[in-house]
Amino acid sequence: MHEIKDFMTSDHRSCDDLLAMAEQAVAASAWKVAENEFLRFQAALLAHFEAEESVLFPLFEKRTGIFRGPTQVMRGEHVQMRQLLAAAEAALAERDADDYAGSTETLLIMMQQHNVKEESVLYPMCDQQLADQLEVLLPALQTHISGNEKAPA
Amino acid sequence: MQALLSFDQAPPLAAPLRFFLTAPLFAILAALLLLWSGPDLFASRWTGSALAVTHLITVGFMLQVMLGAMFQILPVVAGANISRPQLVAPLVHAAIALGAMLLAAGFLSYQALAFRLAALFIGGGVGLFVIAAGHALYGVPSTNATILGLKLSLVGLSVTVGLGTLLAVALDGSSTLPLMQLTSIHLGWGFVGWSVVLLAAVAFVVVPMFQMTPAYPEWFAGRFSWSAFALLLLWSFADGAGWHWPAIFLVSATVLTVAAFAVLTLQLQTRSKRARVDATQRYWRVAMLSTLAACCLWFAASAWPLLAERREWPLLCGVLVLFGGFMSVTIGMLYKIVPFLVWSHLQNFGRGRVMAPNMNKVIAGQQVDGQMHAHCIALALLLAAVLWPSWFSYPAGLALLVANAWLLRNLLRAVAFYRQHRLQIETLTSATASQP
Repeated sequence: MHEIKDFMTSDHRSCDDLLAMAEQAVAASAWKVAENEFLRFQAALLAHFEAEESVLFPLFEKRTGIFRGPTQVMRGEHVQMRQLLAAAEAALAERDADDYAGSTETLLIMMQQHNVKEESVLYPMCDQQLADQLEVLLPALQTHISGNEKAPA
Repeated sequence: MQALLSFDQAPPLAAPLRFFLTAPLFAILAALLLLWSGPDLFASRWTGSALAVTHLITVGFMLQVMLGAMFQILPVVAGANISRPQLVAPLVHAAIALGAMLLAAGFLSYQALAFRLAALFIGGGVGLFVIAAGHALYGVPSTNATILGLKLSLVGLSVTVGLGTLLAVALDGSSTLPLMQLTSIHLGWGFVGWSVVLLAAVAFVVVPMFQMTPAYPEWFAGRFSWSAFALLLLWSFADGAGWHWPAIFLVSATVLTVAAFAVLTLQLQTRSKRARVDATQRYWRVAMLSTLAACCLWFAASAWPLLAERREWPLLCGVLVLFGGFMSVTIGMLYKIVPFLVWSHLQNFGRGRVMAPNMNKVIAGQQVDGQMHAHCIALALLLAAVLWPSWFSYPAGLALLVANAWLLRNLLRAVAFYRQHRLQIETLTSATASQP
């Protein structure tokens, strides 16, 4: 009953871990390592967004008939997080630790409040609404997330 | 489903901000009162000025920040929006601010009218908030420990204010109610049933997610608010019925539960993956250490009658819980909530065409750190003032004044930053729009 929630939540936590590793590297001024870690984080986060936007949300929208509801808000927040990712990337390229810290701190809070909404409300709804499609849905989400995550390595 | 749809209706910035901006004013009033009363304030926890300071902090500071934050938290964690925030927030805010001042005036003057008006305003304000929040939460299933904790904390707040109202009306001396007993039950519900249950509900989300620690164990998070609540309820009956030993056992179990929460939080924080410990995280640690110290002191006083007879211990506990625990954690949270809200509203205002400056630019890091040090000095001096009132009362009052004037200045800077950048974004977007 919690398959979608559990799977997507665990991917949220993996993204958090990657962000933390990049942050550690920036704090240690290990810029090359930081760039690598950041790329991994960026790819993982973007893959997560894409899995939601191209697989999970359309299915939810089709099943419930709600197109302008929560999924629209989540898509809007994805746009904001993509902008923050770009700002952090630019700060990293310029080796500006303060600006990087500011952009990623904002991204972290944005990301976590977004995750809370998804984990406590949207994913449980998906589990409820899409229980009969798990066999197709979970592998599709898995492909998006793991496929894209490997790309930059 | 209805709850889900309300994600996009984030409350207007003014709704939480009005609570946040007036909270430091009440702490400043508490500091001024401390300077005015001097060492006399520490003669016992029952002095009028000690009770006035306590309520300026609990109602004027803590309750205001917590209610303001709930306007923001409910939509995020429960998808539950308080409807018509433009109307509810100013009404609740005005009632509670006025009520806090009247209550302090009541304790200083012992005028029955001041107490009654205070009860009317605080009861009315909290009642309105609980109805509005209850309406928003109605039908939202308690799918996790946070949603459950938020719901229970609202019940805890209602009981606290209900008992407070009863006490305020009974204080004219005409009542035959057991006032001392009712006071300790009121205090128990205020500290644990409302504040700790709410704090833990928020911590279960905030600590793992923002401080990047492992999650609270399921067995703990899932049971904490229920256990604290049940223990408190049973203790209230046992205490009210005069069952001495069951009451002692139940209150000890309650204090132990709170101490377990503090220990677990501290232990999780040592496993944070964040590269730097920022002011918010430090404030959390101070808060948890103070809470733990207060719990230990409480147990020490229960075990050694000699200590229990001294006037200092309840005052030390009070300073640790109020200034060290709740005030620290609320200020720490304000330093994340306010800059993020400013960023978020600016970002929405720029509609993606103009990027808002990141949240670390909203209040300068040095100012946040400076204020935190001032707060810690104030806490240390307040503790010293309990032990040596004639030496430390005035320095403690002064330090509390400085720390909260600094907090107010930092929050006002955030507002000025918002206004300035909103104007800039307005100019930029209108310039872009007018281009052919």
